[in-house]
Amino acid sequence: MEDFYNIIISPETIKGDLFTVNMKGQNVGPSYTGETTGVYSGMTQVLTAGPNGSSLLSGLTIPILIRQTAVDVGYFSPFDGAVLQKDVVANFIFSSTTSNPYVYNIYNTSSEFQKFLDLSAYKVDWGDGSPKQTITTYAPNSLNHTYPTANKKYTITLEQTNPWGITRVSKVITTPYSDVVINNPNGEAFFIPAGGNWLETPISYNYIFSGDAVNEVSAQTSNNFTTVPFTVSGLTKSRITELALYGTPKYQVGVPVIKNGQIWGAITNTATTYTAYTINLVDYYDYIDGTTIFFGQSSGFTENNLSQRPITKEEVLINVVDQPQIQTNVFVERGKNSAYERVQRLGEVDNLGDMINYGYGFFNVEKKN
Amino acid sequence: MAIGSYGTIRPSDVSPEDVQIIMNYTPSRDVTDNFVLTQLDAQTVLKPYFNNTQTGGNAGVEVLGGLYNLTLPAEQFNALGIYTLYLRPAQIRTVITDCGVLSALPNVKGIVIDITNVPTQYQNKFVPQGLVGFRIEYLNADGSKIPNFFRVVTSSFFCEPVVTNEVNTTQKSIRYRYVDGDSNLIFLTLSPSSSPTNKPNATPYIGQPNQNIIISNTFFNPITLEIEMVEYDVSSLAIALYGNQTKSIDDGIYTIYDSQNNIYRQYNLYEIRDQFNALLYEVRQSRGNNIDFSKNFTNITS
Repeated sequence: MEDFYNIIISPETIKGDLFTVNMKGQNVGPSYTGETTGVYSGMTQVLTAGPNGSSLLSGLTIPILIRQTAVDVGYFSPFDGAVLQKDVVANFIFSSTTSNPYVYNIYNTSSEFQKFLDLSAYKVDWGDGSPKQTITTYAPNSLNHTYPTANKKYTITLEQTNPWGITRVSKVITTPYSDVVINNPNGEAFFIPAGGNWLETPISYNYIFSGDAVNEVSAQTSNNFTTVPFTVSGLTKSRITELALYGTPKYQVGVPVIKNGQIWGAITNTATTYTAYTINLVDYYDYIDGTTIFFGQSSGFTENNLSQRPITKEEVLINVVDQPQIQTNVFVERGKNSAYERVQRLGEVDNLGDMINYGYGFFNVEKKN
Repeated sequence: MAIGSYGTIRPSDVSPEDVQIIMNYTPSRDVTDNFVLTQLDAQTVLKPYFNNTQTGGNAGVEVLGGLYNLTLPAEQFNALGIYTLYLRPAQIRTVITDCGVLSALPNVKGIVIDITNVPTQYQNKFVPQGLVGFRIEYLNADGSKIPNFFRVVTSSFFCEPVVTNEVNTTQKSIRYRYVDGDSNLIFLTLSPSSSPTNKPNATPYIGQPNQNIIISNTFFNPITLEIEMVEYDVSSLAIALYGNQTKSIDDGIYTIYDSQNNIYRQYNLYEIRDQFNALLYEVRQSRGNNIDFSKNFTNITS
């Protein structure tokens, strides 16, 4: 059994507490520091030799392993089913504010209320002896009631009369209303300070990760991400062919290459040992030995990367790790028709770069000095 | 070469606050009807190990993970017998305030929980996305638990009720929308909650308003520990066999010592003879607690 442990505790496993009577016949308590040999004690004596017959094993601990079987609950999307819960016959929720703590609002969330008002009649008993209030309209969406100024509990009852009988739902409120105060949203576990090798254990620590829900960059990254972009660099394959121009010379320093109406990149320097160029704000250096090094600046997550949305599971895709992706080294040659190749319409040609690239030389753009 | 597999079992770094420890004690395996079932305070008895300078992590800050130390309180573990400890995720008992859908996404339905109905010590979990992965189990009106049935929380956000116009009529209905805090209501989406594709009108049950539920974390797998407090084990028998021994010729006291030269057992050795002085028996009789401390092994052999 993987999650079952059997531990036997006998006098031999707790040798420090092995004897309860020393050689002089004196009882040996937990604080005893004298004679270090005595009469071997069975477990019964060990468990009863303390003050008032208590156990001597005040420091008995065992190490255990706790594991978590983590299961990915699947692929998430904002949509999860299209059917309302059917069992909501009669129900309401209530709210109030600290600015008017004796005024309570109730919202009739009954399913029937949403659809078939004619079949059901609703009354609210505010629980303070005031007459029952009949709900007749949808507007306003809530009813409110002012309670006497006192610290007291009231029971609000919503009564639904329908052709099949009467349904009542009751809820208890307390006046005055006060906000829920969550003292430590991150949760805090406290430990009893202990000596010995436990000294490195903190007194407390937070254990709820808040980054899942806080839609702020600072919660998702370390502090220096937002203020000081850091360099990301490494080795890669040369991408200089993406900066090739039509005609000759094929590569020119300082001439931006336009793709899809945007500046794609440019060659910045051609030294004897390397060629430097930039593509999409990433600097590349092609060295004569065939290696390529890139340097880019990153700020980690930025505000643009983060958006908050409800997460529910699309169960039909459970156990699907990700959407299928097509990865290929096959390039579509210019001049061939492909469904994947971007087609630029004539009306979209609105700058010089578009004119250069449109229709593989459709416009005869010449450089004049 | 990697084969692309991945493990799903990880060392848990659950906080003791999220653990509930149930203890069952029975003095013998033969008297299991006469058990004592009680609960230990996990925050007091369970401690996670933290990294130190030897383990490579951040000393005193970074939890080691997986390895915990469980204290067996002397006041509970005070008798011989079998103690079964059952460590399970802590249970949060509350009530469903409402079942509803999101205003902006009517396809998304879930349950609404009023935080004021949650025990104080667990309210700090009822924060945006604080309940993801938690399991919800349901109680019947008579207090019994619906067996073999649970749902899993897939998201949780603060919400407030709003009125949404229906598309085709003048009908209005209460729905919920997410808000950034300052709400005592939290909207939980659950799984499964969508209908199977082959039967779209079969709605998975996610609960009813006013229904009592049990919310528990899934931070670790429940485990049981069986702790046997025994009088002796095989090592004790080894002492009896292989330990030092002395026999006092004068008074016939036979003493056996353990590995620390503590007196393990003392016996009186004597003979029983008849009136003709014929030997009938040789007797070895335990002296029990009547220990002759002068038979200290060190004193005898030094």
